[in-house]
Amino acid sequence: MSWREPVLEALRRAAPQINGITLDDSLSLLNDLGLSSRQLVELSTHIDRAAGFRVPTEEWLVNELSGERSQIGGLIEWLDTNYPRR
Amino acid sequence: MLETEVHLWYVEPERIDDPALLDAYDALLTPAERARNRRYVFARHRHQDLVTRALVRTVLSTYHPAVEPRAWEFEAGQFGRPEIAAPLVQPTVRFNLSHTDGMVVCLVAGDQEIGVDVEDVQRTGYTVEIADRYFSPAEVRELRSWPAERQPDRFFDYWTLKEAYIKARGLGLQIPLDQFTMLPSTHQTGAQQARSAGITFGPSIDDDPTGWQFASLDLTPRYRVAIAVRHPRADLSLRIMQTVPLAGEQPAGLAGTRG
Repeated sequence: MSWREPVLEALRRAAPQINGITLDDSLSLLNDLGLSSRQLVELSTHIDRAAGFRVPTEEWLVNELSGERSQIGGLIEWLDTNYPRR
Repeated sequence: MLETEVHLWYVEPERIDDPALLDAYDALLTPAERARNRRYVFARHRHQDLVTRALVRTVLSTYHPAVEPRAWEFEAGQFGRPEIAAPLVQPTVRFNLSHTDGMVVCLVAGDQEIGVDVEDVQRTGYTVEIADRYFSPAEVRELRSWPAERQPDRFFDYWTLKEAYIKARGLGLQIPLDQFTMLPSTHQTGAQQARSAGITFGPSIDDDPTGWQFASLDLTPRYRVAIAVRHPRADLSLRIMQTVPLAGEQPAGLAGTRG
């Protein structure tokens, strides 16, 4: 099972402004969707809830935000690789 | 003047809809800034970004009028914080930006590390849940000691101060948010009256709490701002200016700090 749907749902909760648009994997949380830092940590809190444990999403955020990439697909891939869902 | 003051400029982008003014803002952008602006999916974000770019350029030129707003060049630090790359002006000015839906702020100081954050306290979403996840144990205890209905508002005291600090350090979320503790005032003040705050550090952060000045204030009932300045003087003054880039500014006041 992929993290895709939980991540997209977490995104819709953390950033209600994205409701109604098609979320493409290449969209950047920062540069395309304009998420704030607070929305990013809220996103990670929703991901924790979906996982049922604390996922260190900030590790991905720190690396991605410093490189100004922060693409949705990258987050899903990072979660699928490091915290596979059963 | 910037030896003893820091200046907080703010603009409400949704009040700016004059096409000629917006064209003038667009003309200030570099090709790279314009390309980045066009990437935003939402028109609201493109508009806010455009106003933000115009704000920082016009504000910096008020301190160095010989430099045209379009002449400023910026570069991003390792963790994304924009800095002035050219021209190298004297005396040095530094800036930090923050925005949320409906509000853009720009903090300006002399050659000091500074950070600013603005948040919409009326926006719905996780607040205390974020604190449980990210804040220091002491912060969570204090936050949880407030009546439940006041906790979301208190959360923004902490969040804005923590964000202002990590922005001033230029390290972003690289600094673990639970490794330092903000000490916000509990003093209630009127609109645009600043409240001072302190900080303590956990063992993993090598920093001196006495070297920092913090302040929180409500620009309006909807928007809370916090600033962080690495400056040992306790009498540092905060001056607040409301502006519309290229159309003029008006001083909103000189906010002393109260603990």
